[in-house]
Amino acid sequence: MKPKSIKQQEEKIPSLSRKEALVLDLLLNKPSTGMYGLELVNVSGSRLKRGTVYVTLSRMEEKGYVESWQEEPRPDIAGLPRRLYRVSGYGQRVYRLCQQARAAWRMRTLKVGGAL
Amino acid sequence: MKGGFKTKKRSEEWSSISGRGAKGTPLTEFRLYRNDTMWTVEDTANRNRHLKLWKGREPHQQSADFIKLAGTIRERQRSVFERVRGTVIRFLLAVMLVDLIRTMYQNKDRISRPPGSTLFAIADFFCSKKTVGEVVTPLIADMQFEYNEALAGRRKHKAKWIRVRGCWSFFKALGMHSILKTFVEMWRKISSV
Repeated sequence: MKPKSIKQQEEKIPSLSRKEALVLDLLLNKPSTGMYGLELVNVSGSRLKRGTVYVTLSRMEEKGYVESWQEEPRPDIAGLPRRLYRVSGYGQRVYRLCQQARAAWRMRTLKVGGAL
Repeated sequence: MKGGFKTKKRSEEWSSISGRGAKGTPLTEFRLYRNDTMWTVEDTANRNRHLKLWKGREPHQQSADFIKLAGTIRERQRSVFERVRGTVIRFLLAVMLVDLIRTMYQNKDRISRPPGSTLFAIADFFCSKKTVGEVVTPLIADMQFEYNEALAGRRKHKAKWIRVRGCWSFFKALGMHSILKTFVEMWRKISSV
């Protein structure tokens, strides 16, 4: 799938749900090799579900947070070739921004809580 | 007993078979075994005389004094070697039978389609190319990979369970995907107005 252009992406304020943030967090642990859907489910420790992970990944790919490619078919492994996902540059930036925003929000909440 | 002969009291072993002269009742017949065949005569008082007479006679004349009871051929006691051999043969036959049954079931292997091919066909018919490419294909590919891994590890039940779970996640993913798409489309239409 063709991700949206940078201009289109910059026009919109990036949104990142908790599940998407979790996926990005997991994918950032393996930035070079990438991970496939079931691997993400196994690594997440039941925070991601088999039925929803592909939909989430598809949505994230549409947003341009992740890139996907099919692994090369091997003669020793039968069946369809798996689809591997990795974080795109835009996804990394969005994730960092989101983390910073969350940290700032937490600090502000703490300050407000302390002042009260 | 081969060739020889032996006398037995009816009340000891045969009362339950003949139905007459149960234990404690006076014996009324005399039995003699020769070549594993039971011969009987209704005269216990003169058993020694009968035996002597019977011994002295020619084999073809012996049946004249004693009545051969049909269907009462007594199986001689087998030696330890024969018993062990019989047990071993029975055991080997049982093993062969079990192996045969197992082979019959194992030979049921046939060329079959990979798991998820029907699901793929259903999705291909009902869903858009985009949905098939982004959701269905990776889901089925992962399921097939996991299934093959389980089969390679000789875990048949696990493989079956993966199949069931894959089927369930397929419907869940498609259902959720369709619902999500509907909501997104609705939101786009509302926001564009």
